[in-house]
Amino acid sequence: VAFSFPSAPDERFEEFMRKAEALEGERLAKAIPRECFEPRVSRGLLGFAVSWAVYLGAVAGLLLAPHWLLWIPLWIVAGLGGWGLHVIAHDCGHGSFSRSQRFNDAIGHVALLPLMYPFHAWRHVHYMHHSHANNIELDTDWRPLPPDAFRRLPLWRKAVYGATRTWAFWGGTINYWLSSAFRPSFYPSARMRREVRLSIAFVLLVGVPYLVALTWLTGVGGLLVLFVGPVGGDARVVQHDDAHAPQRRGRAVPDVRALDAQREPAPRDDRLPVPPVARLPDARHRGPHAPPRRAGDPVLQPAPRAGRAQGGYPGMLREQDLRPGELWKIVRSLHLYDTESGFYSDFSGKPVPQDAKAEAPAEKVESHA
Amino acid sequence: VFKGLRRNRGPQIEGPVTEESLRAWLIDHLAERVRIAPEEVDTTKTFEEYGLDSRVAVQVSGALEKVLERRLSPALLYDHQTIDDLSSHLARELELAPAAT
Repeated sequence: VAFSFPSAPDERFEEFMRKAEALEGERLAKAIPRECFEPRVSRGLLGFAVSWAVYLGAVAGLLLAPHWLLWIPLWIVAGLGGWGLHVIAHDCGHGSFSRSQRFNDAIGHVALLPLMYPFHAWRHVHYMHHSHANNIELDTDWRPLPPDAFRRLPLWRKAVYGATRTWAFWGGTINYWLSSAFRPSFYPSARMRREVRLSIAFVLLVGVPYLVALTWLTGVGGLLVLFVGPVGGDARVVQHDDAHAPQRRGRAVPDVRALDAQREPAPRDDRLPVPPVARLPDARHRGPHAPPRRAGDPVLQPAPRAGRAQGGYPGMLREQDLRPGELWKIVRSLHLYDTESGFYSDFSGKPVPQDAKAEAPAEKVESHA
Repeated sequence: VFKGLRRNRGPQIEGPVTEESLRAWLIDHLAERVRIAPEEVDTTKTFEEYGLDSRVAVQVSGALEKVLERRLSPALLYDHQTIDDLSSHLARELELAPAAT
């Protein structure tokens, strides 16, 4: 039987959709000053070098650490380096690192090596996410399940879902890697699959000898401490929502013909090469109040501060760095999809209440570290 | 992890996709799934009547993704429950050339 969600949307949902529909046909990038789209290659390369130095320095520290108690802080430092590299790869994927697509691809491939993530696989799955953000069927990054679907999951998948929405939120990226990194069949078009295979070949060509050499020289223990540990440190929150952004069913056949339009330059990330320790890139990279996008619009990304300066989309565009309180709210209650309201419910099925703060105009709640 | 690493050699539509070719692909695909001759497929009969369960419905949607080279809702076969309905819906959404009448 065909179904339609949400079944009983309230005024908040309707208001959101009214605002979103009012933006139909708008090019969101208009709210962002033109200069934000100009790549700054030297700054990007500096960020790339700093992040690699942080990562490799921490791995060297792990190798020389006199006591295992030092491993945990060093894993976190290595993870932060990997995190910075991921931000670089993200810019490369969206064409905002440089004007040269080849150069972006080359840097992107090298930047994702600490994660052993084939760059084109990440790039395409990330485009899919942007094309279907907040679509409960097709968003590749974050897709809360309705309670009935959650209950019907096999025990193992239920445990993974439960863990990655709560205490193991940091492990979501591992799940993401497992489902998309080495699976060309995950991608709908032949060209995507071809590019993904090329990236896989690159990762295998560089990564396998590295891991074999590492294991040969330091043993399985060394592999765990020097490679797996830093990957764990790099795990990040893959969460683009808050309690106030409704999820919805999209069209059964979403218009994704313009997927590759996301190669268009996106606003560059101006906070690089800020030491990555203060940053939770993915958590802020797409405002939860950003409206459903029209396919083909350039991706709306980190320059909304500038966008605000031009009066861009009040109430619909919000940038907020992740804070401990927000993170706590996410893991405590944003678990399942409430099929009635279109917002979240927790694991007990209780709808997540909206607070007054999020109803305030976006400008008043935005904050930056 | 390496599932699907090999090339997908599944059936594809030769030439430009039209409503007619899509409909023919669905008939062949369904016939293969339920092990009957393509000419025995009734395009007005629901997928459920052919015994397709939810798992298979999602698989068919996944196979269609490869044919149409775009992401599709896994619930597509629930929203459009016969071959006629599904092919005309997809043709409308994707602006394919209509089937000859």
